[in-house]
Amino acid sequence: MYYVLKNVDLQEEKMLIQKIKNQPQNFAVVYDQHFNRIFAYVIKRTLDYQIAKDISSEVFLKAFLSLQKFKWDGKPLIVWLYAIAQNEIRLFFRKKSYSPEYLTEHAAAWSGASIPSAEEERIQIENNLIKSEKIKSIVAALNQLNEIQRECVALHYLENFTHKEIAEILSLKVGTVKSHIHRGIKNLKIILQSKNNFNG
Amino acid sequence: MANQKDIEKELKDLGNMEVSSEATQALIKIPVLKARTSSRIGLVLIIFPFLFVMGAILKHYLGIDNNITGFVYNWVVEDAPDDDSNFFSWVIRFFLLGGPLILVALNLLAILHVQWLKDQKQLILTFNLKRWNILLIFIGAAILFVFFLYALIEG
Repeated sequence: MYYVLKNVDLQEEKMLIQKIKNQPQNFAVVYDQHFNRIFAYVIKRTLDYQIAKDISSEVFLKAFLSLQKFKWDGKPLIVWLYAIAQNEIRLFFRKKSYSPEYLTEHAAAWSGASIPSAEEERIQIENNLIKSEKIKSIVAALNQLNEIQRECVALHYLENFTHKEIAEILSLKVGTVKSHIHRGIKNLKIILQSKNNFNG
Repeated sequence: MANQKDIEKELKDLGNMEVSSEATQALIKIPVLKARTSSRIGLVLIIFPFLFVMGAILKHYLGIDNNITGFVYNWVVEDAPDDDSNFFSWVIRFFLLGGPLILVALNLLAILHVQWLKDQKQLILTFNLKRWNILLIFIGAAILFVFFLYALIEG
């Protein structure tokens, strides 16, 4: 059952993809609609503003470059974007020195609105999220889970995706997702308990 | 916080946290040039001038006639036709001077971003710290400097 994705108008998305194929600049619609969501997810997983910025750039760039060959399979676009984001986050955790394949700057052309300073935004994000000990502790514990458990737990609890939605993003069976979430939470409990014992 | 419900609540609270990324969204990086491709192209462009300069230094200042560097140097200096307007001479000039110039330009483009914020009247220059691109820029600039110095002394 869809929960997060229940309001997605699939026919509208199908038309949008066709529009993008005819005129690539229409990708701006996808970017504007989904950037904040992908960025917020990535920063909650990595707790690093610069890395989150790079990963999000890479996600949208990859999507943009491959949309010409994209075959619509009836799934919402955001599922595809999350799948790309998952792969990039995986690369980050595996390599520890994440270097996105493509990077230079794109101008503010996709967002014509007047913007506050990005530096102010970075400071605000760091103060609210990255510097919080409570958040650091839970994310550090989450990062100790194995890759697949970590992804299932993060998508379920951080993004409110249902088991079916996660199964689509990660190309897994619904039962497998349920089991990974269940085991992931159990393992998180063990990790946090041992940390609490260690800290006295 | 090692109770299962507490853990779930912590995760959900984190998920519910608002992250405002309007400015980041506007500043986000999308490539015009792939940095890696530039450094690969750069490597090809730099080999010939690099071998030539090394050949010249080794032969004239250190008295070493190394096989590869000596071969490139002899080929350019001694085997080249005397006529300066010869096609071969232009090809050599292009590789010796054009190579490092293109290399520096390509790699600078790959790591440098210039953005003009109209509303705030600010010019933002951003450098991506890609070590290979930066190294190639330095090598290219060093080779150009050697040629410039040579031309200055000889001139």
